[in-house]
Order: sequence, then C-alpha cells, then structure tokens
Amino acid sequence: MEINASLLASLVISGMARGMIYFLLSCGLTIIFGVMGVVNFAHGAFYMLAFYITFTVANAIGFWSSLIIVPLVMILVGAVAERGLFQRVYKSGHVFQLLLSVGIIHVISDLVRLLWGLDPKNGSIPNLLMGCFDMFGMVISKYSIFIIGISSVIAVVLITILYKSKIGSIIRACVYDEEMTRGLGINVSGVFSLVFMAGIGMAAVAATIAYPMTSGTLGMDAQMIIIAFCVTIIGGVGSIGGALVAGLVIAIVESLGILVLPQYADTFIYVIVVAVLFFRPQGLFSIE
Amino acid sequence: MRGKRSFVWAVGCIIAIFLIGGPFILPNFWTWVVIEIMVMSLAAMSVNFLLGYAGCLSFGHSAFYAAAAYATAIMMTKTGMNQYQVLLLAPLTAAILGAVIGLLVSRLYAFYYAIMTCAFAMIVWSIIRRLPGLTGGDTGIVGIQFTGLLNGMTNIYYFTLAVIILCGLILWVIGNSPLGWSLRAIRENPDRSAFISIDVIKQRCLALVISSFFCGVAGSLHVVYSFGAFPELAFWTKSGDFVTICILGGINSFLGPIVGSVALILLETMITSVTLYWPMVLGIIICAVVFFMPEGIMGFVKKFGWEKVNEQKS
Repeated sequence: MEINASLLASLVISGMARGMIYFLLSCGLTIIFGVMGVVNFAHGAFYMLAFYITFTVANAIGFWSSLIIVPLVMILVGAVAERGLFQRVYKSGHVFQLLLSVGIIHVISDLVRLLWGLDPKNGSIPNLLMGCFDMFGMVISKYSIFIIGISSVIAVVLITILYKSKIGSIIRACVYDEEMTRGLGINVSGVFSLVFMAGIGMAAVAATIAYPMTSGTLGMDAQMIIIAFCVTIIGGVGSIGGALVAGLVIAIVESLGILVLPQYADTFIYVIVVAVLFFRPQGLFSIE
Repeated sequence: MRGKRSFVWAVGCIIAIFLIGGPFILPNFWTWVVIEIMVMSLAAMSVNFLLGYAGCLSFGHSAFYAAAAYATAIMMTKTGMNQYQVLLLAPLTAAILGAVIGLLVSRLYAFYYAIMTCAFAMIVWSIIRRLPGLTGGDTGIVGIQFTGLLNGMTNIYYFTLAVIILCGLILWVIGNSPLGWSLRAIRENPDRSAFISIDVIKQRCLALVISSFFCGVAGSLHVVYSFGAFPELAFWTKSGDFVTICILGGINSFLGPIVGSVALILLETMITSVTLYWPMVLGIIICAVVFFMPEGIMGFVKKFGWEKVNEQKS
C-alpha cells in the first residue's frame, strides 16, 4: 500500500471521529469518578445497551429520531440505576462499588442477549451521511465530519456548563470537597444523580452516533470499557480536557497503527497506557 | 460452648470423609464439579490473599490463571517435557508475569489498582487471541492428555485435592508470617507502615507475585481437569468471578474463598441445568451480596454462630 499525504489525512480524520466517540464515552466515566468517587465498571454495558436500543429505534423510526430518543431513554435508565443501586454503595468502599458494577454488567449483557439475541447487529449509514467530500485532494467521509461536528458541539457545551455556569461550579465543588459543599446547603445527592444521568446520557450519545459504523456484538461492552479506562488513565482521572486529548490520541494511534502493523493496532494503545502509567501515574492532565 | 465446638468438629469430619471418599461416593458428574470447585477455591484464595491481607483488589487475576493454563498447554503440546516439570514451571510463568505487572501497579491503590490489573488482563487476553500459531487463537488449545498419576477422573481428583491442601497450607503459613502481618499493616495504613520502615511497594509487589503464583497453580490444574486452555480464561469476567467468590465467602476469613466457591459453583451448576440465563442470576446474586451480605457467608455464619460462642465464653 502506498502511503501518501491524502491517505494519511483521511486516516487521521476517521481516527478523530472515533476519538470523539471515545471521548464522549470516557468523559461520562471520568466525571462520575471525579464527582462521586465511584468507578462505574458498567459504563461499557450501558453503552452496549444504548447501542442495541439505537438498533431497534433506528429500524423502527429512523436514525435521526433515535439521536434524541436513545439518550433520553438511557438518562432514565441511569436515573433508576443511580437511585436504586449506586446510591446505596457510595459509602461502602471501592470493593463493593466495583462488585456492584460487575453485577450490573452481568445483568445488562444477559438482558441484551435475551432481548436481541446472539447475532451481530450492523448499523447502516443514513442516506444524508453517505458519501465523501473531496477537499484539497483528500477524501473525507461526511459521516466522520458529522461525528466530529456533533461531538465537538457537545464538548463545548459540556465545558461551558462545567466552567461557566452555577451548576458547573457546584459540580466542581463536589469534586473538590463533597462534605463542605453539603455543608453549604447544597443538595449533593441530587447533584450526584444529575451527574450520573449526564454521564450515562453521554455514553448513549456516543453509542448512537457510533451506530452507523459499528457492528454490535455481545462483547462490545468489554471492548469499550477497556478503551474508556485507557482514556481515563492517559488523560488523568476527572479531567474532561484530558479525556478529549487522550481519546483523540488513542484513536489516531489506532488508525495509524492499522497502516503500520495491522494485526497489533490495539496493542499500541496498551503500550501508551503502560508508558503513561510508568512515567506519569496520575495521568497527563490530572487535576490532582 | 462445648456443644458448638463439637458441632464444628463434626461438620469438619463429615466434610473430610466426604472429600477423601469423593470419587467413590459421588456420581461422575458431581466429582467433576467438586474438582472445579477445588480449582476455583485455590484461584479465589490467591485473590483473597491480596484482597484480605494486603487490601489490593485485583481485577486481573484471570491473566495469571490464563498465563499458567496456556504455559501448561503449550509446553505439553509443543515441547517434549515431562508433565510434572510442566506443572511446576507453568505457575512460575504466572509468577513472572505477576512480577512484571506488580512492578507497574504496586504504587497504585484502590480503583487505580483494580483498573490497571484489569487492563493488563485484557492485554493478555488480546495477545492470546492475536497469536494463533502459539495459542490456537480463539479456539484455544484442546485435547491435552496427561498420563500416569494424572490420568482418569479419580487420579485427577486426588491430585487436585492434594495440591489444593498443600497450597492452602502454604498460603496460611505465609499469611501468618512477618510478610503477612506487614501486609495487614499496609492495608490498614500505608503511610504509617512506611514510617516503621516497611518497604510498602516492595511488599505489595511481593504479595502480587505470591498471589499470581498460586493463581497460576490453579490455572495449570484447570488444564489438567478440562484438557485444554481457552482465551475466555483471560477475560475479565473470570477475574470478576474470583472476586465475587471472595466477597460471597467473606474476605475477612481464610476459609471464605472455599465456602464462596462451593456456593457459587453449586448454584451455577444447578441453575444452568434449568435456564441458559445464568449470568443474569449471577448479576442479581452479586447485587444481593453487596446490599444484604457484605460480610459474606462466613460473616453471616460468624454473626449467628461464633458470636454466640464468644458470648457464652465471656
């Protein structure tokens, strides 16, 4: 295969598109961890659930409406999970929090098997997003531009909310000192629910926009949670900016890795993770 | 008090007789189940060694389990080594892997430790699937036959039983050695342990190496009783099973993992014979344990059995 600038550019663009999906997925994980101190191992399972719901909704009503419906449904699921399950283990220590999420993973992935069966579910690209742009001699698919666009908007909105609005300052105050925030008369458990719902909602958006290019299988939750962990470790826990950079880096390395050593594309990610952990264990952009 | 104690002795004797006579008392199917329970208890004991003494939650023990299983399978099929040598060397492979991972993760605590060990297990999993020439890829390595002392159900049963008892004793001794006590100190407070000149990182790394060795023993035994090694052994759900067994049995108890694996595997065997949806039941069991039985079965037993003994004593 001849390597030229145009091929490289389109690989980088498609890598960026995937990187934004990784970002959306992991920033939910990282915010939940930052605010509540709970690692939600089940984040990947929620992503998978959202993907399968997208499959059903997109086939029944259409892809564009699923873009609204699925995140709303998943926010509801997130609210139920937080109120019913996670809320009860905030004080129980990390062993029980992790074990609870393992239990939730088992239940969700078996539920998906029960409802949707074993065969892989392939997404299809809606007509509007088919085809490519031809820019400066580079071929760029419309779909990649769509993903990058929509997730950039979400990222900007998220960062604005987090750093410029009142609820954003409350959330950051919870990250900083939960007890003091509670002492100031703020409904911390309400903030927790809100953050959890937002995190799951973001995973749902990621699943929905990834739907056209992904083949959904029952193992996809494990795959995604490992990537989300890698992003979180590289970017630093609790850092949205870090998640953005790390998501992009991981996906671009993955795409370029396919060019160099196709068989070991995902091994490169792990090499980065191990290197980061070795030289900067708190992550590249850690808030600590 | 005497009544309670003799009750415990009686239960102990019944279990001992049951274990010794196992293959002759039980039907074949259940003998295999008991072998599986024994192997799982050893793996869970190795996880519990880290979790109970050192307070490190490892979600990556499937890596050691699979590494030893694959080492056994590869050495049995690709090299002409003696099977006993293989069974001695394979756990060492796991221990070496444990040392490498330990060097990287021993500085981490709580979630970070769990996530990183899990990530390493997934690396091992993906490597196994990427090397079809060596590991058989997704199908794994099947049809490994041991000979002599390890041939046939009865032999495998007694061999496993002997190995498990030996390893359990060694783990018990290590747990009550100075190393075990310094690990407990680290679990309670790493900073203060460092002040009293305990080399915290080194001790935690050592704990991981010991634990990975015994998990490796269990992995090798897995090949002995299932005649093969499969990529699923390295998947994180396997680590999740080990941790679940530890918590279900009770982490503050040495016998916890054994009780936990008896309970979990019996449930699994019975439920899978009724429905295909065992993982869902497992998930619900896990949630129930987290919410209602955080001390595990042993904690439950202690609460309603042993505490009364103590009351009578005092």
